[in-house]
Amino acid sequence: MKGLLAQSSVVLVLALFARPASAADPIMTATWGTGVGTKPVYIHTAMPPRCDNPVLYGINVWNDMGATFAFTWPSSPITAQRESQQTLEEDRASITIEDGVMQNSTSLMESGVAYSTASFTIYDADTKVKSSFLHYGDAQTGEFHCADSPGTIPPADKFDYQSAIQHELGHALGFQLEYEYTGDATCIMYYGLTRGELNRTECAGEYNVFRSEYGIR
Amino acid sequence: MKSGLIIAALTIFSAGSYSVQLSAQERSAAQSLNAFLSSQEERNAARYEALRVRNLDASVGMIIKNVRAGEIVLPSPPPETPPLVREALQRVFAQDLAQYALALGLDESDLQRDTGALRSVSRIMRGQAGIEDYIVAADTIVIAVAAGKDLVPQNDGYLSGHRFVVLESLKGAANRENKIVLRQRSGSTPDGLKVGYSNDISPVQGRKYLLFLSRSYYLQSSLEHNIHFVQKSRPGTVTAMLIAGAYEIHPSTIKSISPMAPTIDRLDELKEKIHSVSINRGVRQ
Repeated sequence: MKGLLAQSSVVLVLALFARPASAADPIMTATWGTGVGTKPVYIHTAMPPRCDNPVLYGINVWNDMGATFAFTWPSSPITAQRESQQTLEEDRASITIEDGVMQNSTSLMESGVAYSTASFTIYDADTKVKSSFLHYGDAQTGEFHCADSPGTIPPADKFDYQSAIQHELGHALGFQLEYEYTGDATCIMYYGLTRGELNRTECAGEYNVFRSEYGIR
Repeated sequence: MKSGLIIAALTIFSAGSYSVQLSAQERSAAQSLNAFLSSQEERNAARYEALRVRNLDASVGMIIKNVRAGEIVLPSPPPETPPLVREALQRVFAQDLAQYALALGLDESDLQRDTGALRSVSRIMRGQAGIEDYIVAADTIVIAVAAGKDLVPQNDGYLSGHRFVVLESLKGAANRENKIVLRQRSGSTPDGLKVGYSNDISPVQGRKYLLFLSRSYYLQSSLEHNIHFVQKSRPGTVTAMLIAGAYEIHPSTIKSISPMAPTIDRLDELKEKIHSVSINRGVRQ
């Protein structure tokens, strides 16, 4: 009876903090582990400056969910070193966002995450943005819309950079490392993004999974 | 614009809050473009070297000339971009486009026969492509059933593969019942870690898929990673990588499992498009 009462209390506490979620939530394949706390995000100097702020806005969306893990913004966040030029220690100590070539031509961005399949701990994560989309267009940011403020909406013919980079930061947290999430289209981790579409708000499923896997601060 | 990098970043950490703010930051678009151009010139050089190994380098100059002669709309950076940087961007773009077309296996005769093929490749590079463009870019389009993972180690710069058995060939040299090995970058590394790339797919054994593949770009990419790689061919097996979309085929729906792949509603319509692209535009079937 006492045990049952304790169990009921736990359920009640969870019910207070968890948002209603759907059956098929995004999956967190691995995490940076408990006690890690933070990971700095660097941006390569070849990335257009107008797209720096949307990275910050995207970082804040994840950080504001209240999990114990948070992305941080170094005092000098712009780096001239690509992931391939970093030492193993440097590579693992941070997340680098840089431009690059995608093998699958339909992709806007991609993240590579190294993790242990024994402990499901992440050792490294980095993100590439398709350089030809960024630089071969007719404006500073090519096919992307880089918002000046978190509330700015993209024009109908551009991909919203913040929505896309938030999705990649989700991979860097450990979401969907084996395959893309094709369930609830309102989730940041949903795999598709159309031109003019905004996807900057987390769904209940990823909010709950993120807080449950990392803990709540 | 001030020269140099002026960054004054504030990182706010208060109890329970991890909000991050950037109070002031200024760096010029021209600096970023210069950094991109420098990297892209290196990538273009590596690609050219791999094309040379494949004996596909002879057409590069001709295609660049066609691009610059006005067949393709060149990138148009913001008006404040210095003329020299603008010129460099257009030069690098022309080389990138020419080499990407050749890397995909489109040769000089394809591009002479079909001036639209180069425009298709240009649209793919710029994110403006439709299904017809991906039909041009993929040298192998098949409906195939997933048959499990391919664990044969290969020295090609890729970590893993997925096996498929061809049910129907829609474009290219694969025949029914041929095996397809789809090479991917996700997989286990020698130090025991697993690397997952978000754009790779995880086919479910026994399910049916529609795959837009490139054997040519797989070979190209392998050479760019490891210039001494020699492709080992297995009889009845086509080794390729995903160049565009992968779709799961269900009895009543076709669902894309690749990010951003164009929607395909009906297989008979897709087959008609593939037929029409090959007939009307002369692209090799």
